[in-house]
Amino acid sequence: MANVTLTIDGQKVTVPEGTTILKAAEKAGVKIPTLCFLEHVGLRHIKHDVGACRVCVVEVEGKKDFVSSCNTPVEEGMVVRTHTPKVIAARKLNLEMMLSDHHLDCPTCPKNGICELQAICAELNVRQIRPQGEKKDFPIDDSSPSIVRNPNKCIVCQRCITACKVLQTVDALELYGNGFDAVVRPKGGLPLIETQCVACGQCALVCPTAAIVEKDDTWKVWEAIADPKKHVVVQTAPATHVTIGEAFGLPVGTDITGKMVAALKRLGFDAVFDTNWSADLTIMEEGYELIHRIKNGGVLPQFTSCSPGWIKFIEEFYPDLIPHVSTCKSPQQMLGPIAKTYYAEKKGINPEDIFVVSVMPCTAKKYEAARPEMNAASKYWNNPNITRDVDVVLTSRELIRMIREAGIDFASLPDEPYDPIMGEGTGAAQIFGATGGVMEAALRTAYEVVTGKTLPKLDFEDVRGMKDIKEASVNMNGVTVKVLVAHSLGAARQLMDKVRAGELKDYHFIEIMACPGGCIGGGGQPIPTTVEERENRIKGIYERDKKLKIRKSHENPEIQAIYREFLKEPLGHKSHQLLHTHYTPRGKK
Amino acid sequence: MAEIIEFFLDYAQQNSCAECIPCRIGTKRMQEIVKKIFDGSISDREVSLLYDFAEDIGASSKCDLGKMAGKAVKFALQYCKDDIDAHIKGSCGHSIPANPGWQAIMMK
Ligand code: SF4
Ligand code: SF4
Ligand code: SF4
Ligand code: FES
Repeated sequence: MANVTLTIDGQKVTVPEGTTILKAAEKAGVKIPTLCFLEHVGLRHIKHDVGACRVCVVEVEGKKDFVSSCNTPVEEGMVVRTHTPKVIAARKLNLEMMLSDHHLDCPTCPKNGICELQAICAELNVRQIRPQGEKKDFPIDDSSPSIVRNPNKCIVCQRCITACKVLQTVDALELYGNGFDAVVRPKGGLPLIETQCVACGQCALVCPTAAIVEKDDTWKVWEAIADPKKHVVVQTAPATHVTIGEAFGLPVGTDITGKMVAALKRLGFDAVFDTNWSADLTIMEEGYELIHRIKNGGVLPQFTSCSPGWIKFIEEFYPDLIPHVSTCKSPQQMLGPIAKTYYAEKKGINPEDIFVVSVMPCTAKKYEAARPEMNAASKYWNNPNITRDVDVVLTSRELIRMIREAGIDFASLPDEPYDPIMGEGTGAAQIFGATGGVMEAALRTAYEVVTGKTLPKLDFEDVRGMKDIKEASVNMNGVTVKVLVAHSLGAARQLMDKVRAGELKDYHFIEIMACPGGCIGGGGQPIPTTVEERENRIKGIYERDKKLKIRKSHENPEIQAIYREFLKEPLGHKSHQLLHTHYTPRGKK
Repeated sequence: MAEIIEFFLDYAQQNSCAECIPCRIGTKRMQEIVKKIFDGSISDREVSLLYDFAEDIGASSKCDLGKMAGKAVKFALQYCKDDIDAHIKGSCGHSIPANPGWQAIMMK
């Protein structure tokens, strides 16, 4: 590619043809402010540069008007000035215009402190809002159990549309209307819950303001903890083990497992369990299901079912492929009913009094827990007073807020262990947090169960990393088991189209995670969650796997115990009652 | 001239694709100020803000619709200030003769 030389603020800089002014300036050591621009939306090849906010405008010699640097390519000999008084005044006024149509209740706003609009106004020294006038006034949409939309905070940057339409190919959001009355809304102006939205929360991760946020359920948890009648248990998803620390100044990807347990005990939970434990249980059930399907000519390839965003996606867009989906519940939904049956029995606690809280990296988990069929414990005991298997789901962001509210100095907490019965998790469960992890964990167990031999090498490098679609194969007793892994629903769609066309018939197992990078990039994770954060959290996941003594699900002693004492065998009667589920074809009829 | 810029701003608002801030919000704010020209309630501060708006919107909008709206106001303020002042005082100067066919042409 040819090179282009230009001058930015008096400095000569040479960059490849096609580079934007913004990137060229970066190379020259000049930082141009941006607001709406996003270099990577979840995955490296997805860019958002619609040029909506006009905060990145610069002057180019010979051009009468400003140009937006985030999406204007450099030209040979260009002379760019990034902070003349005219440019500075224009940036400020553009922000003032934005603020003049914004409900500025920052102190009580859910994004207070992590709001990009706040940050840019501070950075650009905006000190007044001269324009005044009509403000938009839309109702708040809290129809979804996962996501709350406050259109009054929307700055129409359209990042969410890119996340939903390009990254996830769900296309649930649209820019509707003209001029001042325009709004970003769910398609057709419906409440979000009535659209094809899969509740993945990728829109919330990229929204620079509080126009799209997770539903806050922290108060329900405070109340449950304070209720002396309730035995409140909490479970922590694999991805949270390497993320919660970020919010308290620890490097991204730091293993904070012990500190998180300590924090949860200080918050007042009666028992602290690990979703890693039920991830191991999932591997037992799902691994045996795969072996069963292969042996008995069942529907193949089998799809994983741990990601509720993905489950809603297949129900909406590929209902004809539902028979491929594993009937196993996700680890979250396995721990819930077991807490209200096996654990309740063992501890002699009335299951009605058990209150199950999850800490998840995911907004779709709230939706999953609210699915009507997720009341297996109630059916098991034939007791309508037991309602949900999982009572409340907190995202990572909400737990972080609770830790702050309680005034806990997280970074200096000592490490504490999980409670017994459902507290032991293996390395295999740990890697559930990253794309490819469920697959790798399943292979570690399936290989040993099928062949009766010990795996020579536990690490399946081929299914790791941020590539959209990954592939591996393993020889098990003469059968070559072929597997595929995809993360982000755009990549899932590519695979599903092939399955539908009958092109992937010789594959056995496909793992899909709705979020880029897997759960560590979930819609409930700390903001920002950029590609770099995702990569660093993934590193943390594999480091923790290496550190753990037991790295295969079937070797987890607490898993062996529950099969011995309660479930008897994978895919057995109780497993079917408590750990397996069915799906609902949805979508446009 | 005041009527023409009012018309122009209405047109911009109705047709703005809403993608960029200066066109989406800026032309609305200009519209709100311009309306005050007619009842004379516009303040000196608002006249000067209108200048700033026109300058900024004309230069930093994403496409020609917003740019033109900004520039139309800018030129009107520059070249037809007498007419606008007359409006503010309540006596229309009509420094530019009304053309009954103009709206019809523009709206096609
Ligand atoms: S979204 Fe940001 S700017 Fe708007 S009220 Fe909330 S914190 Fe303030
Ligand atoms: S939650 Fe996911 S599917 Fe729903 S609107 Fe946001 S990005 Fe789209
Ligand atoms: S909802 Fe958020 S991301 Fe979407 S356009 Fe509005 S401000 Fe931007
Ligand atoms: S960052 Fe370039 S227009 Fe918003």
